[in-house]
Amino acid sequence: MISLAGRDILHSWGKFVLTGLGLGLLIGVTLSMAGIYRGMVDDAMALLNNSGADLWVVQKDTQGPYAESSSLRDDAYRGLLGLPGVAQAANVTYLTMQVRHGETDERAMVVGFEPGQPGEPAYLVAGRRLLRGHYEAIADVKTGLKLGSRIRIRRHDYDVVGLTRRMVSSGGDPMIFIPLKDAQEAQFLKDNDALVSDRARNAANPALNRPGVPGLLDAINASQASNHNVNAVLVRVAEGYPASVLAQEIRRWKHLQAYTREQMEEILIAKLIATSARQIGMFLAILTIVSAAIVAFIIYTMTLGKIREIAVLKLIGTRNRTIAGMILQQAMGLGLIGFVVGKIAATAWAPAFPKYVLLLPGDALRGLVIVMVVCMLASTLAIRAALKVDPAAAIGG
Amino acid sequence: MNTALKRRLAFILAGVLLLAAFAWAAVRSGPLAPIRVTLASVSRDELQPNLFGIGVVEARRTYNVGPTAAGRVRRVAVDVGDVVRAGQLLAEIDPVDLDQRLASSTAAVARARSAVETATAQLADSAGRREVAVASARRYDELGRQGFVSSSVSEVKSQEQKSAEAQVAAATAALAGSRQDLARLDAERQGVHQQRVNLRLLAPAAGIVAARDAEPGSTVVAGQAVVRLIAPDSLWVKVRLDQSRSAGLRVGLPADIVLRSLSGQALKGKVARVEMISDSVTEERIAQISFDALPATLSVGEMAEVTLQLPTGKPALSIPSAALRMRGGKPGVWLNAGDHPRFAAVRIGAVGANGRIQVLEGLQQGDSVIVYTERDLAEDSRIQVVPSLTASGT
Amino acid sequence: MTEGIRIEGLSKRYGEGETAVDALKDVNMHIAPGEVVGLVGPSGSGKTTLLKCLGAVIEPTRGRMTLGGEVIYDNAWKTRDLRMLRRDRIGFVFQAPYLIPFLDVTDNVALLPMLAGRGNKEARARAVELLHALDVAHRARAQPSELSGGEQQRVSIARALANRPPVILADEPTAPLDSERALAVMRILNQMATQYQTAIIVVTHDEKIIPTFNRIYHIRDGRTVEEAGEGKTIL
Repeated sequence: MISLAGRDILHSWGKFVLTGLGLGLLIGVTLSMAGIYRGMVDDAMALLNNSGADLWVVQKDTQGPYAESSSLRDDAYRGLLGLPGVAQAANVTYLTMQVRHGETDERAMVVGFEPGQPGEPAYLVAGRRLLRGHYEAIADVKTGLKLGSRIRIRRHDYDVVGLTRRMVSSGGDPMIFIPLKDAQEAQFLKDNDALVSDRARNAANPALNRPGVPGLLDAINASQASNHNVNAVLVRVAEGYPASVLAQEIRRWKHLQAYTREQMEEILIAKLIATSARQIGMFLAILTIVSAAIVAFIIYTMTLGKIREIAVLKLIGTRNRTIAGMILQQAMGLGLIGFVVGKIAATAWAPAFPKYVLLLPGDALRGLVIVMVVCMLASTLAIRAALKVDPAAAIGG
Repeated sequence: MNTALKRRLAFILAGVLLLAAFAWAAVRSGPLAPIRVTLASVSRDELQPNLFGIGVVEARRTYNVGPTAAGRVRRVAVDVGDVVRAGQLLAEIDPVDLDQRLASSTAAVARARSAVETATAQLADSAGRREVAVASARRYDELGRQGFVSSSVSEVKSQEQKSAEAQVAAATAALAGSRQDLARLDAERQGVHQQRVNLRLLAPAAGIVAARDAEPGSTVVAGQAVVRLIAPDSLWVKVRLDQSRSAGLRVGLPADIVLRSLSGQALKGKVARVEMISDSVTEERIAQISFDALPATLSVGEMAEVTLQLPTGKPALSIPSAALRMRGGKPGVWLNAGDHPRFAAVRIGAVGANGRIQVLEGLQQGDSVIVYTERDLAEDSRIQVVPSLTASGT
Repeated sequence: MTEGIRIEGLSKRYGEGETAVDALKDVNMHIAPGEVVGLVGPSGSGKTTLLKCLGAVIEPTRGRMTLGGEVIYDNAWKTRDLRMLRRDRIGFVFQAPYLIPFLDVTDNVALLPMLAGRGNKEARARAVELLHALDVAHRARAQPSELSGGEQQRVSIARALANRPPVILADEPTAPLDSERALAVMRILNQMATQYQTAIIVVTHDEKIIPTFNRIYHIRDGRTVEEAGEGKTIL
């Protein structure tokens, strides 16, 4: 038995290919949306993995440092180092800000870290690690910066001496790593106008500006302008020591909160990404419905154009099963072409997206199954129409 | 050829192309692709380590000239930027009643001097009377012995002699007393004078006026500076170095100083002093760097970046710093060993200025280490060696 | 006779009660194998209804139909699978060729044997044989759209013969054709009828070909009357 569906496709291949291309682009968009969601989750996981930490210690009653802002004294880490089970504890700061490069601003997450401690970028794709204690930076390639570029963060200029990859914040902003002290200054030190007005305010306050105590005003100004805060302490737990036990231990200190890896994952993925995930889910649903509608429409139209042939086939003795099968095969063939085109398109344009798009083979397989099911369901409309055709219509007159 | 056949062939060709593109898409995306890495070999280099710190230009010696007691500023004789000699009058505090007190003291001294004169005269007077009494007593004693006068008369005269002696003693004491009074009042006068002198603020050494902190009429307390001087040739840079990255810091190291205001040039200097007291809050060591040649325009409080050159070490095994990885808090590198990478723990030493790190233990010369990677590596990662990971090279 | 077509007392009533219409009233017909018989009547006479009954496309109300010796209808369908009946025992030739446009000529003819379960090679071989017989084999690999009207008609006749049905129903096969072509079609039908011993009913009101029939059934108001035709031999 020859394949009627195959012959029909070969005969009107132009229409088929064009529809397949259109459907393919739609499926490509759907796969890309799924890839964007996976990319967002991967961004969050990359953020957690790249920090090299097992525990995140933040300000009490906050869900920081990524989901919420958190501020700690920078000597808190010393107390943590004394706890059993702590292998390393290091200060880090995180601040999303505009970084100036030449004429343009770039949005980036500026990370302050200590070399050799959790928080430093684990691997580089170019350049070297930070040598000096100040004014050098390692940037993610997503910023577009090259080795040797000079960038401006708040008051100082930094030389980009190293490049990394896949170091992004949970929001997808690329990271720039600078020494902790510089980052503290950048985050907590105010701009010149604010400093000047603060000094004037202090000078006008008679409680602070006492004539009998020379040097008091200067000391107060200096204390207000200094920065001894960080956003979090990253802790690496010793081999074999359970992280959750250590976290409990740390929480008993009344002014600190500690999150294990699992808890951070939940905060980032369940809470931060939740809204975006829902949006993407809605888009996927809409796109699926639209694809189904398109396939249904095309197949239905193609079937209606063959009504006469279907009547003749029925009259001369073709089974309903055979005719239904022809329509179904056409729909699924269309779906297959669409899927192949879509997968190729999604892979081809994925690097062009501003956010990271992660296309997993599992998702593609799931997409294929859904496309096939959708095509099967979409063909039912045409199949019903075909089955209703009366063979007697072929006998006219 | 038959159109149907041609069409069929065209379709088959298109199908094959499509499948090829699909296969490319399947392999290229996602976690199936191997991780690209670049390699470098462990070489023997001379490392040129250096230390880096941020500093502030300070004056070695700053003089805050001010009064030792509260008062009102009467006159400020210099302004910011003036060059002063040692001993030059800088400012004056209002003496208030000190002049009057000085006059009073002087008058008191004069009066005490007069009292001394009076006491001297009285002493002379008493001494004269004593002479008379002595002579009289001797005469009457002689007469008494000769029997010309009664013994009671000679006793009276002898008594008068004693009384006159006593008066002389008293007058002498009174004179001494009034002299002591004079000395006391003179000392008081000198004291008031000293206080008066103190109200004149003089430059303790030659220098330049850096700040004029009080204007005539304003009240200042003890210890508050009216004028601040700095010795201009004593400007140096107070540099802060991370405690963890200050190994090898000592006096005499050559330094390159880059001032904020002259960011293109590097000025030469050397470490003049390493402070014994470090900053435990910021975890920094403090050193003072002197300039070999003071630049013309320098201001106190200016920021500077200081690089100290440590002596070049002997040639040693070194690797690029980017190859260093931390695993479980311990440093190591990934070695290119066949299909999969192998992690080797290393012990590191000095860091060179060019970004190479000395390897003390764990590697041989010629070992191939993985430097740049696209992703974090694990023992079972599949790797693919490429010349460079970024388009711009390096 | 035991072969061919035999119809006895066939009636078809549409509707119920007052508004009922009797399209066929007690029709009796018989056609022998190899015979080509005409069915002539004006429009509305019920000839289309009769054709549909004979083609097992609609169900008659009453009567008896025997096809190739087998009773297919006796007041009720005797076979369950009407489609198979149409596929294997009845051939259809229409006014227009109605070839499947996306199959080539050979596959159009070979389709029915393939549907009946024959292998592709065997079906195609039989198709080519029929195409030869109809003198259209040189167009075996062409698409239907490339053929002339007459060639298409011949291919459709070949398709009707593909499963060697005992009966062929032809519905106005010569309507769109001129007299020369019409007579050519009748010649082919007669040839095929004789060669394959098929009974052929031709529904027509084409004056050009009526003289060629040996026997004609006139149908009017649902009743048939047999009449001997002129039987003009066609060259």
